[in-house]
Amino acid sequence: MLGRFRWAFLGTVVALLIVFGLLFQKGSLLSLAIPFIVFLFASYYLPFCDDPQLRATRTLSASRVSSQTDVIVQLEIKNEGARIEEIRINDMIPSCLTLIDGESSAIGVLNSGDSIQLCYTVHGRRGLAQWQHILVSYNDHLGLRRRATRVSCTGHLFIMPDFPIVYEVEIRPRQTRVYSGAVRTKLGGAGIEFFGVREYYPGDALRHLNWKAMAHRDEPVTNEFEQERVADIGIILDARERTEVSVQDRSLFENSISSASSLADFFLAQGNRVGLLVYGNYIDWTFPGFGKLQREKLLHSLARAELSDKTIFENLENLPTRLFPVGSQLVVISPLVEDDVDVLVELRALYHVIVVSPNPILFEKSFLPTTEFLDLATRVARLKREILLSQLRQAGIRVVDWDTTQDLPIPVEQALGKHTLRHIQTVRGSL
Amino acid sequence: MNATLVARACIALALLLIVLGGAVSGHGAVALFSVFLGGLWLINTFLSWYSWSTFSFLGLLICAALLSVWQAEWWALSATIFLVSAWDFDAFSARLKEHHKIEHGIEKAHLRQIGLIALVGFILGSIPLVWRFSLALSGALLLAIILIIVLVLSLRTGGRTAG
Repeated sequence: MLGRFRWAFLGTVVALLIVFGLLFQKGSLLSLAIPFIVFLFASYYLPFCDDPQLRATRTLSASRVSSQTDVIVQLEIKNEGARIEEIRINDMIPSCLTLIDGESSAIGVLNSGDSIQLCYTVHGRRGLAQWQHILVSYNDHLGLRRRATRVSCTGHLFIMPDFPIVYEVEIRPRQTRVYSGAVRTKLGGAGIEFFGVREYYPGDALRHLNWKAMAHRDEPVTNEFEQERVADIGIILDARERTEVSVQDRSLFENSISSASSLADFFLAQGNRVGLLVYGNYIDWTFPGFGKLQREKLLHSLARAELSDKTIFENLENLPTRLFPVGSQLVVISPLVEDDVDVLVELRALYHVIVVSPNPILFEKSFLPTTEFLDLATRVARLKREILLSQLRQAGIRVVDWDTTQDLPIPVEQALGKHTLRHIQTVRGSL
Repeated sequence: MNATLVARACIALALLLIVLGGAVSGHGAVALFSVFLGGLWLINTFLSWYSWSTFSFLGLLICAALLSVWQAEWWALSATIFLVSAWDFDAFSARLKEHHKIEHGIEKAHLRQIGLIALVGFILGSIPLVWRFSLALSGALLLAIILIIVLVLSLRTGGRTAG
């Protein structure tokens, strides 16, 4: 294929035929040059639209979907200028999407006022798919005069991360907000869970009188309940390239995203104020908020999250802790590396910290064929990781060591459930 | 209508004309060589190896030029007309194959235009074969220079518009 060199090629053929025709004094060779000359001149003199007036409109069947959900994209390109002999349209499909059906490119004649429609179905993995423009190239029928341009035609599609629903995570941050919620505060007042008894004051509800205690003490005694309030929760998602493990197109980071989505969904459903920090590329901070709107913001932020290998964020030392109110609950989601222990232990001094750590060793192992050496290597690596996690546990950080072959709710509820917290507090003597 | 089919038909016709021309002028070797090149080109159209079509086209054009020198001018001119058409249709079908959707009418419009150009090319090309005149060397040189200047100017303008 000669592409734009077709002119030069045909010109050379004509020149050679003429030169040889004259050199050998053969009119028949000159006559062979004539069809080529006609071809060249036809291309030059036939009408050609130099400045096409094209307008493109894009319609998506949805602007927000979960991963692997089909989305139908419709594209209409209308010619508002002169007739175009041969137009080629190529819609640039964002890299995170896969074409599964239909046409994303077309070739045709486009008369003035006519339009070409494209319709195709895509699906994709988590991310923000953005269409910016379509590539349009046009030429005469002979393919000798060519032009290419880009027609702006934007569109965006959020592909939300898939996440399992978590039903139980018990947290006890030091600071809570004034609004009532689901986080127990270790303070007596209005609530559901029994907290203790105290002397009855006029105005207390009579239905809360504790008759048995009153019989013992011989004075009016009323029940107190534990106050339940909403808390500030900061979710920190580790997006550092150095903690990433990817095998056969499967990424450990996607598990981190999934767990961040699950926990954000759970905490917001409990009425808490949740913020999100994606640590890796830049300080991608979603300001804390409540409710469904905040859930949408967090999911959008998680849909956009990408790994990064920026040197400044190589360690957790540059974690912007000022973003989180002192005494609030932090949930760090990271596969963890050895350097992270000190920073997390320091964080523990100011916050209640939970670490959800997708296990990179088991993740990688699940894709490898089982051998004697693999078992030995896994044991060594797991021992090393166990030391790292036990350092965190000793500092009072609650750790979920998540085997990614299991569904997230199982290890989360085992490690962060109500009974586990009660058990830990009993052992520590803080209940 | 299918552009690839038209390209194959044009290749076959050009090949037939060159072979007949070779047989008529008594140059069987050229006919044999053109059969090899034409066969290769036809195979390429089935395998969609479009980059080889230009080489086959050039080879067959040289065969046609040789025939025109060996007194088989009409065979050569007719074969050249089909060769140009085949070369163009081959490139056109390559452009079509790059796209998922082909709008109705483009192939017919292309065939119409190429057919017209081929007809005009044949009529104009047959004029020197019908109307013969002798040219002095100085006249021939002058004609050659004028033709080449016109061609270069045309190519420069064309090259700019080719984008």
